[in-house]
Amino acid sequence: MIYQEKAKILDKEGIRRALRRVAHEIIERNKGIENIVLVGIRRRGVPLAYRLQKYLKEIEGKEVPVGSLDITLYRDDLNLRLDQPKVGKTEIDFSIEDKDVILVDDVLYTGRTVRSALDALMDLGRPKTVQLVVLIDRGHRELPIRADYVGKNVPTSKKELIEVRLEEIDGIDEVVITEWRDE
Amino acid sequence: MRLLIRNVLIIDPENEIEVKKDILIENGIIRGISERINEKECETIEGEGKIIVPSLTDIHTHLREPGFEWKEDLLSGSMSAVAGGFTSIACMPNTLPPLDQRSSIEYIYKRSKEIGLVKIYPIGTITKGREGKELAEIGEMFYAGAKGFSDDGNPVLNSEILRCALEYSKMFSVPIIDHCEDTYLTQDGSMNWGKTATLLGLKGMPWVAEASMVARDIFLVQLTEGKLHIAHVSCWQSIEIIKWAKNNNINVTCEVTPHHLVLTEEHVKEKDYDTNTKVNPPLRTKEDQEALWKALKDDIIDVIASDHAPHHQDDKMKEYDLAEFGISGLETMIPLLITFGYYYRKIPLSKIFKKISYIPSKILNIPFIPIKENNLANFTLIDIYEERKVDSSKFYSKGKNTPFDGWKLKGWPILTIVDGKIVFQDGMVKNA
Amino acid sequence: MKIVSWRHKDLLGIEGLTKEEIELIIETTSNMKEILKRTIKKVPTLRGKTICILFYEPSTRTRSSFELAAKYLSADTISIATSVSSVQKGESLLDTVKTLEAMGIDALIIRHSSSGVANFLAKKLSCSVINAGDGMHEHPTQALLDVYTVYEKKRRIDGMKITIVGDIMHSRVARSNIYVWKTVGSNVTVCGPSTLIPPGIENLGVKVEYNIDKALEDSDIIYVLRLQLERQKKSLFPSLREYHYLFGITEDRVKKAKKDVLIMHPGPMNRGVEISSEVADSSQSVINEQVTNGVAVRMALLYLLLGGGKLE
Repeated sequence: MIYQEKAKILDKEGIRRALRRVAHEIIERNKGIENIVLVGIRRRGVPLAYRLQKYLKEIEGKEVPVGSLDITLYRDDLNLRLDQPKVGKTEIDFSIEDKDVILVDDVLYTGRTVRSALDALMDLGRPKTVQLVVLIDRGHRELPIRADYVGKNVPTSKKELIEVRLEEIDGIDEVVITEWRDE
Repeated sequence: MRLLIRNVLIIDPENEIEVKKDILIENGIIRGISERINEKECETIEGEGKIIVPSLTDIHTHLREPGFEWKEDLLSGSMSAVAGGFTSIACMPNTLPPLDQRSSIEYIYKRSKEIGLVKIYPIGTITKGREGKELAEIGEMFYAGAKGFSDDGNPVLNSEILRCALEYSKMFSVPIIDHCEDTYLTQDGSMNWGKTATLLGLKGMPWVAEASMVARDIFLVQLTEGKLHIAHVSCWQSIEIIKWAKNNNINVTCEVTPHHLVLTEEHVKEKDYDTNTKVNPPLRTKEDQEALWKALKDDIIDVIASDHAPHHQDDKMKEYDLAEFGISGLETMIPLLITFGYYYRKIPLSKIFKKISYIPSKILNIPFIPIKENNLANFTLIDIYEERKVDSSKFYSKGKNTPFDGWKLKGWPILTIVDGKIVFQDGMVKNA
Repeated sequence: MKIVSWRHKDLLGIEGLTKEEIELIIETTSNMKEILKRTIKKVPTLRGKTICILFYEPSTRTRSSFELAAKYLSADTISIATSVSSVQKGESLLDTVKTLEAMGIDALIIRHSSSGVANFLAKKLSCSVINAGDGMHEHPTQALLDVYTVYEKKRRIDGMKITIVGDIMHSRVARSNIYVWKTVGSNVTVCGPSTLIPPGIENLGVKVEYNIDKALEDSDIIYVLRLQLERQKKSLFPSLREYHYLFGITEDRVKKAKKDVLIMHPGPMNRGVEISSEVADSSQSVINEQVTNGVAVRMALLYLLLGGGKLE
């Protein structure tokens, strides 16, 4: 059995356009960006959050603070694994008290990661609102979680895997679907 | 009873001779030894691959009765001895009460007769109560049958007391057996002083504690001309001093244990603080181990004795420095000596067995019954090719404390006959 | 998300840990430290796990450090100091521990005055065993917080000269530190009265030096051990005065080391004996940081040992 690339969903341009559109939506829904902070969920949510920061600055002329959130210690599946995931850094050096926190992640799937992120955020303070940005929503929710801003909806089967690759981490910008295939 | 053993290697440990013959025993007496005995209607054992050795004697055992019967008693100790292949054993007096008077000595003989398995010879204490302060009633104990005197477990720290004991025992021509240890140096120690103790964080017991007392003892023998037997020698420095003594005709004999021959201090680390490696004197270095084997081959070491020290698991299953010292050794001594002495180090069987039959009998002046026609049958049949795993749970001894559990050893006793009576055969001790 | 393999059921000592494992512990610790800066010092990671802290030797510092670490990770703790337990009534070590296991603990943190106790218990218990100091053998969490403290200050742990000064013979902290520094690639010199240097210590790859000035030359780290006053009664050294005269770490002596030397001590200190107050309170001293880092390191270890499913 091997993983095989099936199709390319987004290329570099596609990602750029989707994020720019999301940036506009954020500004529209929140009627400006005065009270907004961006928090990227490790790993790939973080560079995406920084990109949103850049686009928001280009549009509104102001810089929104960005933080990174590691949710390893909040996972609900630690007991089920033999190997522990590596704990990463949570770096949020501003207060989230009474702020509109925009959580950013690359893929929304079962919703468990976002639930962990919500728990982690609550331990750091009491935000006014929490809104969710995802680059790709691939369906198959296991918890009642939904995204406020979606880059692209991609219906998938459980056999498939969505891989988001970003220049900052993977050297290239693209989103592909891969699948388990019998050799 | 008629027993024929065919084609078996008969060891004469006194003269270090080995011959292959048939041997016939009738009603406990050796009726015939010759090339080919044709006898019908008798129990026959094939002796090919087996040896018989007369009067196997372990002169250093702790049988714990009276006073410590949860660790061992005279019955379980006797069963252990015959299962281990021994026809005679000497038991140390560190009981409660200690064997320091005539009635205690008589008690041992009485029980030994009642049990009717191995012949047990008591060793009396040197000092009253084993306290190291006053001489015990050595004369009365001797006439009651004590074969030697020792405060074993404890050294005799007071040199004047040892001098008196050696002087006094001269009258009875009986050996003083000393446990050589300067307890000031070994206080709180639980293994050999050295690099392994450092790594494990345990307080060490330096070799000097033994060697310095061996030297002192030997000079006292030189002064008094008494008889001294040094128990469980463990380091090369002790061997050197004993060598000097023998070269100068000082009347000293000494013994070594199988565990000091086979194990070293590294074993404590390998077995990760297993308290079955905790023994006094402690397991020492490879250098000491080699010196002991050499001394054995050169006959500087006269006797091998088990220092059988059974303990209940409650006394062993604890923190290393709080656990009791001792290894339960009667049932592993023969296979260890055959595996490591004969097979591994190529020491002739008769030489090994001389040190656990003829010589110890002479030292304690107890009967050594050789294999001769018309003598009582008092010997052990050993299969030197049988290889088996040591299983302490099957020991007859109450003490299962051995570091050799699970070891594959070669050379197991299969028949023990004491003064004409078969007491152990095919893995079973016969009714006590 | 990177998966790491912590494949040990217990933490009994530094001996046997690889360089990679020590680096993993350091990395996990630095991420745990962030939690200590929050207002709500709590993450739900070890929720539902029960950790028993069993100390047969008194210690406020280490015991509370472990307790906090466990609580910050949302584990339930039960802390036992022997003076108030049934051990006084003569219950054996093994029985005490089996009783606790029967009650359902997931981990046992044990401190005991006999070497090898943690090893002994780890063989008998199915729960994880963490050695909080056994006799003169090892004190692994101390060595790990020490190496983390140095890493935090110097951003490196290899290629340095560490000088450990004091009663090496009776010190489990010294042994664990020797193991940790040798494993990560640094050099260790031990210095103290020769009655307190154990035989064969060179076999661990350390240099032995009796002259304090020579020992401290060019040191990156001076690790000062606590002198236990009872040792004097056993004629291992004549007096505290003489010890201080020959081995005390004073400002003058510190000058022999490198300019950016770090001063460390496992605590508690005998001010004026093994270390002078000026040195203990100087800017080069990281003694307080050691204490802070103790909680974070212990959190990291608890996560690594208990944060996954059970190793079969």
